[in-house]
Amino acid sequence: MNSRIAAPLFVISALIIWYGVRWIGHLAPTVLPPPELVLSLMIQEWRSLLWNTSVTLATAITGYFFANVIAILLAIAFLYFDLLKSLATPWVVVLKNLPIVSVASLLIITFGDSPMPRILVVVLICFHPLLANLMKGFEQVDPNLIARFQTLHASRFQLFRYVLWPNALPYYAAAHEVAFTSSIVAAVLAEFFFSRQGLGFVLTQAMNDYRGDRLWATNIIIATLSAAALSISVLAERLLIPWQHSNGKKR
Amino acid sequence: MFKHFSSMPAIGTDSIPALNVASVSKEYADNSVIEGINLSVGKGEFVALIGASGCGKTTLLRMCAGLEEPTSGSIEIFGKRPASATSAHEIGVAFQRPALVPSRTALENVRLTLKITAAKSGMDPLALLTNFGLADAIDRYPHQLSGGMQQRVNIACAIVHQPALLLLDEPFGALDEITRERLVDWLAGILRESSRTTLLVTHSVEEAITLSSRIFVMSRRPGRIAAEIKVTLPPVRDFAVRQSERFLELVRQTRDALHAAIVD
Repeated sequence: MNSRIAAPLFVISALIIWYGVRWIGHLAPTVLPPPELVLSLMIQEWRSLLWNTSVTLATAITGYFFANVIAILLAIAFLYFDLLKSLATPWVVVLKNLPIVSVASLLIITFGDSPMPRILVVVLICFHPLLANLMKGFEQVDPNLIARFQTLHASRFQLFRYVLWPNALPYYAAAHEVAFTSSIVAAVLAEFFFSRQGLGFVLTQAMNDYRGDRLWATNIIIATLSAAALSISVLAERLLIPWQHSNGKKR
Repeated sequence: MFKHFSSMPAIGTDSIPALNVASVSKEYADNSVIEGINLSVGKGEFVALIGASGCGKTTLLRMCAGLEEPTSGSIEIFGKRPASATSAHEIGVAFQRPALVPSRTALENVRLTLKITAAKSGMDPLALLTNFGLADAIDRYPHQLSGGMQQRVNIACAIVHQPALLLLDEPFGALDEITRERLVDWLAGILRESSRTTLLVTHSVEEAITLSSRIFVMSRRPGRIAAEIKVTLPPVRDFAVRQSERFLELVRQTRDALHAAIVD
């Protein structure tokens, strides 16, 4: 389907479903408000929503940046130090599988009321897919290519720069599609537990106040941010791995 | 039982062989792959190594390239160990599957070899690829090239830094018959111009006779040199030469040696 009509079609279908569910289910406005009510709230409270959106974005982007730094450094360290990889892998697995709910209480006790716990939640959720894909990319190199570079007496740095890193880029780019969208969700989740600002906090307040319109407005914003994150990831993939998108000649 | 052939360096070559393999054996976990290999290649010679699948040809080539160590015996390239020859960028290798960096174009792949080797007397990559008939493909990525084109780029990468020794491991093995024949002719012309010392591993008897001045026949595993055949044909082995009685006689002789090497 043409991407230009996909988005408008999605909006139209969403509205049809929205009105349809309200009409069929006879749902109260606190549960499922009419779209026009949600839109009206978004216009009235745009400053507050914009401010909270910026807080969530700042948490997501900061946490995502550090998740990338940690994933890249760990992947390179695991590539060259087997002992470190053996020692650190169980920790990575534990961190990946820890429920954030259980981690949240530890983080808030340790770091108190600061942005740090929220950023750490984003890091914990996002770094693993990046690390796993980078490691796979480093391991999946054509052995013939490595052999050829060895016959050229390429240094470790040359082998990494010209063979290993470019080979890992498609895997790294694919991980962004999962991890970057997860960063938005992670930031919102973190704000549920320990924040007095951000979209997660707005959700919590809206639930406590039985404000369905504000709940839906916030969810629409979160969904839009996630969709934007996915689009940015797709664009980043084209920049990171141009050779896979070339139509015949290098641009 | 096989005689262990110690080959004489070709007439007119320098006293130090370009490649000298002396009593080389290789074992993997008590499994003997090759045993007591002796062969010598003079400077500027083109020598082919032929044998059944699994007889250790590629293993021997990899040891010559410094990628593996022999269990016993020694390998010298112009009097140096393969590791020293590698560090001096004196070896060029082309494997059966083209080993090209997917994120670089054909021209960039060839340039990359020069960058890594920091070769002071390398060939001009653009001129080399043009000479290889790839002028229109220099800006294409490997996945946009046909198998034959990829292999030509692969060979360009192997020779651009002017290595003293060229090792070819079944470079045309994965190609169809027509493409293979064309590329064999092409390679013969290219290497005739440069007189580069070359060791070719191949399954194809015709390919070995078309390209080389000597053929070493390996026995089945554990691989040993079972026979050495001198190819006394004109330097230019065009279609007419390949139809000649002498060529066909050499094909018969080589096939007989191969069969004897496998059966015994």
